[in-house]
Amino acid sequence: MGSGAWSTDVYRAASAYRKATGASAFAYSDGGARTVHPTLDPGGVAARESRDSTEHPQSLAVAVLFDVTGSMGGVPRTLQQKLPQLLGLLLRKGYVTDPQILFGAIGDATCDRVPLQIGQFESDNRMDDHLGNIVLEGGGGGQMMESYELAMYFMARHTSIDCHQRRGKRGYLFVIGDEMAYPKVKAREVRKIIGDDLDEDVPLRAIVDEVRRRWDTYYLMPAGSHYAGNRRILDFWRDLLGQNAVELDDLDAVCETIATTVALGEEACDLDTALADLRDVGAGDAATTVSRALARIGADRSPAVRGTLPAASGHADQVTRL
Amino acid sequence: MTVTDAITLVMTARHPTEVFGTDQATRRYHQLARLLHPDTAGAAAPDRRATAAFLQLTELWRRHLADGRDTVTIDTGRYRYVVDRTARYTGDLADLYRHGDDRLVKVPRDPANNDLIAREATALARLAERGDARYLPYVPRVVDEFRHRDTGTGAVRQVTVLGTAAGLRSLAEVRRAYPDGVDARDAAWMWRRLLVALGFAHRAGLVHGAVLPDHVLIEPDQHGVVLVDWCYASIDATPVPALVPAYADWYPDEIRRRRSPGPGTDLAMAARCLDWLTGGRAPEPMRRFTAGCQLAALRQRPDDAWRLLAEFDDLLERLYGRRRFRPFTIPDPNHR
Repeated sequence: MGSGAWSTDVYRAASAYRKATGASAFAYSDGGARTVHPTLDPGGVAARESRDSTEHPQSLAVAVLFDVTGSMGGVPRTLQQKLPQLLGLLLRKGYVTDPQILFGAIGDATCDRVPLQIGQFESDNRMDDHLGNIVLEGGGGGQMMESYELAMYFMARHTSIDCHQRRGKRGYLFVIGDEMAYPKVKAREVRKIIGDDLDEDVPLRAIVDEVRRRWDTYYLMPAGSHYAGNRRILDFWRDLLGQNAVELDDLDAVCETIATTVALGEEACDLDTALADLRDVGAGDAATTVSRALARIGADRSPAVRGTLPAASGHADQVTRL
Repeated sequence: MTVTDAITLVMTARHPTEVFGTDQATRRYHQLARLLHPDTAGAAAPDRRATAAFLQLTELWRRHLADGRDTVTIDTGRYRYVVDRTARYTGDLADLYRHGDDRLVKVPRDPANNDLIAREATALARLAERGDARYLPYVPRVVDEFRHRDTGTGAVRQVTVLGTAAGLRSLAEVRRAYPDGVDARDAAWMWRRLLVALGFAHRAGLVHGAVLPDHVLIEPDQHGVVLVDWCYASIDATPVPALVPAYADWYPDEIRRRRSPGPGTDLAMAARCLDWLTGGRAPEPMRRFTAGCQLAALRQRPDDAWRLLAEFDDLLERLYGRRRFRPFTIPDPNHR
């Protein structure tokens, strides 16, 4: 996992091929598929892994999961067009040296056929294939809830990332959606979709707590979705994630927003520099969107103290994670 | 090394390095200080050469520290922490380094446990905010917290600076000093104070989640108790995130099953501490009392530490009559 190098040319070639053949970006879904693509099936997966390698010694895990239910309208398709640029953007800006990106999709486990789709961490064009294989639900339960909690459960218990295990850096998890989560991770759904034998439901707050141990978690609520601007939903996420619940008023700037959030987290730059970067490359509109979205995030993030600590005692850690 | 060797070494040295070396200087210093301290060396060297050497040693150590050879400076921009290069305490997952006499800088050995360090700071902040201020001495005080990025490895660690008092000993140390078990009357005050710490925490919406002998510190002279290591705390009934494997069978079922813990979780573990501390020497009614706190199902256990304290006081009065202060000392295992 996570090996290989990005080639912009290959991506362009694939994109050009799609244009030429008229195939949709969501080729798998539009081909009539109504079951999860084997590469995206969370069932029976021990862990999706992001690993250091000689090629990528400083791997940093970035996961982007988006709601693909009907309430999102045209958003999933726009995301599909925009997200392939995320890796290139992170690399070009020099914010991160070895990003490994995972894409996934969230549906509604109470009524959808494909409530959870999770790709692999990739550092090359394969992530684009995963995006292409995502099935679009288009349905949705109509109760302002989707199974975000199930996706968080997967990220909490079925991912293994070197950036955290080796360097104590949390990965970045972006959930893009426009509804609330269900109040509990249901044991029955976990059994059916992921395959773990839980003996009781897990409260939403507990799973959010758990996922945030390893993932710096953000909720992006884009314009153009059904419930955009709904205070109740934003308040719901602010209550869970605080300032990490962000409104995104222009979907075209989704990659810039994600990249800038990562850059701020990695202390690769401050918000002003990132915005200046965006304006320099002629993305002035994106800069405005990003600045509006991230003003709260940049504000109180204190930078890490740099230096050397005294040597560790060498005692083995006596901790068993539950 | 004999006392005479130590005296010669210290009195002829012209530079701290000749005495402390370049590696493990703190250990070397402690070793020499033990040998030359008037309390220990007095009998062996009645001519007071040892005392003179001890003063010289202290001076050399002061110079050594001033050289900065055995300390590391962490500059947070707001404050400079000059900490010993070697850890003063080693916890389950963190090393604690001394800064001055009353500060400990707590650093996770593995950055993967940053969340647990952060969890402790959050829990202690919650106690300071919502808890009854009268009971704050029962828990550590967070003086500062920051993230630290190692310039060499890029590892990011969450660091907490804690205030500390002198003379604290863990129940694990107490039990080692009393291999046959502690007298139930001495264990009783430790348990009463522990119940206060727990009542204080539970009222603020916290469950400690790891009430174990290593995490309960006592101050023998003043009969003080400090409940430390809040890295595993449950805040607003979230599951306890991890357990200490050496004590795996001390944990009630709800923790092992990742279920929501409650005050009864801590009370069961505290009761187990009391059983363990007295080593089965406690009178029968006290053993029945602790058994009643350790029933398998959380809802069968007591859920209010303050009420349990009142019950326990009743029991103590029936067993021992009116409360009297019993001095408690911990024999030093090195002096036996």
